[in-house]
Amino acid sequence: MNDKKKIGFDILENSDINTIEEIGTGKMNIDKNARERMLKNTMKKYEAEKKKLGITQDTSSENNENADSVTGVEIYERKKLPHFIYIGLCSAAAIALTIGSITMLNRRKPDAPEIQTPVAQVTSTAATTSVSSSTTAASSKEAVTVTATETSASSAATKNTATTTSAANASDKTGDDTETAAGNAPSDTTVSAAYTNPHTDRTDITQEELDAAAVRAVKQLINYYDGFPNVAQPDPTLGVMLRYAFYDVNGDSVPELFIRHNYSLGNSYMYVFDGNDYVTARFNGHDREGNDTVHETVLSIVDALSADNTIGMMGHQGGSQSFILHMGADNTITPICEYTFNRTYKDGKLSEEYTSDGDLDKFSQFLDLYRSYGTRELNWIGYDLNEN
Amino acid sequence: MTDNEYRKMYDKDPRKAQTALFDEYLGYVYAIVYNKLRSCGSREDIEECVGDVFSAVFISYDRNGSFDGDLKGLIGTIANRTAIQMYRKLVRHSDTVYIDNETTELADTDNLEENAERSVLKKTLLKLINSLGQPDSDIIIQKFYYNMNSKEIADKHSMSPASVRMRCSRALKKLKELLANEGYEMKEGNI
Repeated sequence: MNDKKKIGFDILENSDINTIEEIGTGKMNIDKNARERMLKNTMKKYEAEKKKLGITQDTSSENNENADSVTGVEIYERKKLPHFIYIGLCSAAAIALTIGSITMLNRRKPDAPEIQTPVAQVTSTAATTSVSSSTTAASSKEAVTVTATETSASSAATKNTATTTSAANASDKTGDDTETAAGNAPSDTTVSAAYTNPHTDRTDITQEELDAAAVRAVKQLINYYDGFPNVAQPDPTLGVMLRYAFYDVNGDSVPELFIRHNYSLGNSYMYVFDGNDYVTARFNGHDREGNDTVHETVLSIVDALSADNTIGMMGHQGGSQSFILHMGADNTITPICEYTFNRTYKDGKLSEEYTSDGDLDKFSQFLDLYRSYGTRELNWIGYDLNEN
Repeated sequence: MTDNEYRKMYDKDPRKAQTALFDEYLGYVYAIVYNKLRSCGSREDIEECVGDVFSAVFISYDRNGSFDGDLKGLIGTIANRTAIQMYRKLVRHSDTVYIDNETTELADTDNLEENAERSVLKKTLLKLINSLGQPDSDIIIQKFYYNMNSKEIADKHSMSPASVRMRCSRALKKLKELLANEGYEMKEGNI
């Protein structure tokens, strides 16, 4: 009996770009006619797409012998300004901006903070701590919570202030539900309000623009991990892989970006589009000790769930935190369920506290809930790390 | 051609710059598209997809005013994505089972083992083909991977078609021996 493994040239199909280059990108036969045909077809598609997108740039040329003639193309001629006028205009603009900024700052009311993320932490050798908390209902559907922690050392007049502001949107909790816990004690009854992420109202976003933004986000991510390309380059068969996918979680017609890689223990990410770039999304939640904190949508697994407007995040094993989140049309994210090793939260409220989930019983319950939402299969696009 | 070189050329004459970019990367794009559509697309499908890729590249530049510093990377990514989309379109209504490769099913642990095995097979085959030396290794790839006929290969290597056939036959025999030594057997119907 012949037990040799069968191998054929079809094994070379569906390769990564590195392998394609190894096979040879200049070995095939593209004759002059085929080249002309493809160039003409390219230009035809390009002109049609350009027209559809309303791009008006002159791409005609007297030297061009391949393309179809194009009429009615707007010719844009850039006229250069004399240098001294240019400098003058720039200076005037800078002065106007400075004056405008100062005026705006002076007019701003000190009791209306607009900061949306916890930005500072109290660091002091505090002897006494006084806490004041106020909740202001900005409207019937919006709550703004301000917590000011003032710490003073007994011998010094040093004061540090930490400010946390959370905005709640229409679909979530009202100001009445909001309580704030200060200091390091677990905030057992805290409602995690919706976190407002960057959002865009642009309606002219093209897939090409999103593609470019996605590639930029991927590259930024790779640069964050120094070892990423180095691991990939010497031997691609080791299997360091990265892929990304677009999926519109919240139905606002602007797809969110999902990225996965298996470098180190692997990680998954969800980004939102801010009009120019894909940026990390965040949400209000709790840390393992039960304190309020802001999380990023980064974990071992980040899934687009089958239920509308929901995403799920799963940590490694039960020791990590896991989440089921709701995403509003304006990119606000609100936790539906949070699991940690010591606590479970439902709709931002503490629903259960336990010494430790050693046998992962609570995690199993969370997992059942997670599975009940179902996960969506995304159309992943591979990113060739050797191209980076 | 770099991003800067393209920009300079584009500022003077956009169509000339686009044609130059097309000529420089045609082989690269064609190879990527061919690799994805080899088993399911016709030559027309491949040429259509190549047109889609370059059109998308030109539009990308028109919209952003640059290639973000990595022209080859951007072209490769667009070519890969466009070819996968075309593949899906082509197999959508057929009975063909879609086999995601390592570039589309990257971090899926279920496929890791299979992908690793495929990678090993690819590396082995390419290593053995390369060990045949030039021009035999190129002839084997051109004949059995790119499906070129002896006349086309002969034109590429300034040989007669008869010489190509003879070299190809000997190289294939040697490749089969090398594969056998490694514990593999050439699939029927692949030659």
